[in-house]
Amino acid sequence: MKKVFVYLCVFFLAAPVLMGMTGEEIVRKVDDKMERTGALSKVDMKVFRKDKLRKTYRMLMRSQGDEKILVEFLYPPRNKGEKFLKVKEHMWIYRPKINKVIRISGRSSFSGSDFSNTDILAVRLDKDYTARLLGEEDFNGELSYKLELLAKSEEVTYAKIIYWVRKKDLVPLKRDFYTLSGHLLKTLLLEVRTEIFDGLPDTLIMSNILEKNKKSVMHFVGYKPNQSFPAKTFRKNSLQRKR
Amino acid sequence: MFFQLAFSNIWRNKRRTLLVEFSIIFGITVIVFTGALTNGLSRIWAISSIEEQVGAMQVEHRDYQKDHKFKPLETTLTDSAQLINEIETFPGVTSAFGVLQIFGFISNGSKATTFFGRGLEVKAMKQTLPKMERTISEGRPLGENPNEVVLGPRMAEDLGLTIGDSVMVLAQTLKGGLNMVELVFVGTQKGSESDYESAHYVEMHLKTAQNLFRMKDRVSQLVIGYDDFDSIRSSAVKLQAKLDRNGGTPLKVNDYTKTIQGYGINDFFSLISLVVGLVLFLVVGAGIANTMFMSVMERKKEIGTMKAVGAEQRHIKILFLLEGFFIGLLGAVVGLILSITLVEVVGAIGGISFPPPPGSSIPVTIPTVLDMNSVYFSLALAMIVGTLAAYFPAAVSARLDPVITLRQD
Repeated sequence: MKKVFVYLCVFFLAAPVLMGMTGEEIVRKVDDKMERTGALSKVDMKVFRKDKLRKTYRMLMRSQGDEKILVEFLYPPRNKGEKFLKVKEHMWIYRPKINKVIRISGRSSFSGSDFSNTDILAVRLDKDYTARLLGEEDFNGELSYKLELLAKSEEVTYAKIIYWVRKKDLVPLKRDFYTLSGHLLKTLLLEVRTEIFDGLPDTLIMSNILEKNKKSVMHFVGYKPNQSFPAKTFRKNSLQRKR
Repeated sequence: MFFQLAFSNIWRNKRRTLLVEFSIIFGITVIVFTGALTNGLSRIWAISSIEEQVGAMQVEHRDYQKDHKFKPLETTLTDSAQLINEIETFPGVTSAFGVLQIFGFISNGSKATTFFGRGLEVKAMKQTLPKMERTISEGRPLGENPNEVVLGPRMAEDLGLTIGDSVMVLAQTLKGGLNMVELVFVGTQKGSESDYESAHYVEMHLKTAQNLFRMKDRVSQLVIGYDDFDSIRSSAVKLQAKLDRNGGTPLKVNDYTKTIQGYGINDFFSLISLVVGLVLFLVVGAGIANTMFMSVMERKKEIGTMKAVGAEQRHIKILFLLEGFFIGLLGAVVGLILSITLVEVVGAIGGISFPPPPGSSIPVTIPTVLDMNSVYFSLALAMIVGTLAAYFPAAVSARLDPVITLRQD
């Protein structure tokens, strides 16, 4: 009897190791893969309303780890020169027409799209969420991990994320974002359309549950890794034109 | 002796004096009656707003007005229940309820729009704002069910909602996370709001709003009911002093004059009445001056005789100034008696009915409520104008040479 009890204890303690990675490990590994330190990316964003393309944006994205990201709008002319800067948890927008830098909230919409500023400017999930592996399930014909990510504090935009990650190569597939009340709010599909990231998703499709027939698609069209940017690139004071 | 002489002198030419007195009485009546109408208009406006929307007074964080655009949730009051209990013990306060100013997104499931609005303590609100239901244009106001919502008419129309439909309300909590609640649409709120308000207004139960924003027991304002309209403003000052003594969160008490939108226009109306009064009395003053000049001309010999028997310049001057003062005083007293009687009679029959304003089919009845400021103003104006108007004729009379005046035929 004693032996059976010891075997059971050993089995339960070793189960996560025997069965594979924990939820925390999976999320961390996916974050590591998706994080692009010292990268210069060209991104197209398309905003669809009533299933029709309403706006197209082109942006240049400079990133230095997860903490420093600068997005500069190249197109349309109306938004040209507009910049979004994120340094740690602080975010600002620079409006060239008025030559002013304004502090923004992570929850606000990113240039009228279905993405919030946090969706675009915060890359790693492991900082704000604790992850739990719910199990494995088929996702569009591929065996995937299904994870539950719970926000570490109420300050985080989404209280819960249900996350699907392809098991064989830890490629993220889908995220469902939930509010504190447990309502599903947004869905993000991550797709691989080109080989720009060597098999990692280059297209993000965000749809909002509150509004039907609306979505925003972000597509990486250019990518230069291993770039080094001068420190002033990510300084708030560098955003503004000198008078 | 001077008083007696001056008073009897004004009756030497009764017809002329009565004509001047009539003009003063007319001026006084216009000022007092206009003041009473303006007062009545602002009073019914204030009372209906107090009973329907804003309450007699409101208490809020001292920095709310300054910071609410950028930090609306941070400048809220904590422990609102305790504060309400305390305020309800203040003499004259009938009831009080909490309001949380809210904002976020609202969706019918396929379309979403931004909103601003209020979370309300419904039971206490009905006591504090007894005529609140008047502002509901369709459906009904918030009832017992905490999951009900009242919307602006344009918002309901834009979202294609009918009474009984469900809506999702999304908001950012005090700490920053997103939260959502599903509510049932029960009515639309009308009022004198702008198109923007009509298209963006949302009203829900306070507890529901506090849960949505994760702000237990916090409110933006406390709305207070009071039993005596005429002492609201002085009581607000006393309540402010009492709350200041308590310390803690810095609070600001605003009476209805600060919370009713556009109420400041009353000051503009008062200014117009003041200007009209001044212009009227300028004309009246000219009449008095003319009368006095004529009196001086007619009484040259008399003035010369007075001087010849030893009267000094200042005695002559005082005599004419007193005559002007008495003309003003007499007109003011009679004018006030008549105008106050008129105000009271019109007030007793319910006021004056005006045709329906543009966009309405209901005639407007404005009661007359005596405005003591216009009473004091017209009384002072009549006496001052009477005296001042007599000044130049008095000065002329005082300078008359007795030798020349006595030699004239």
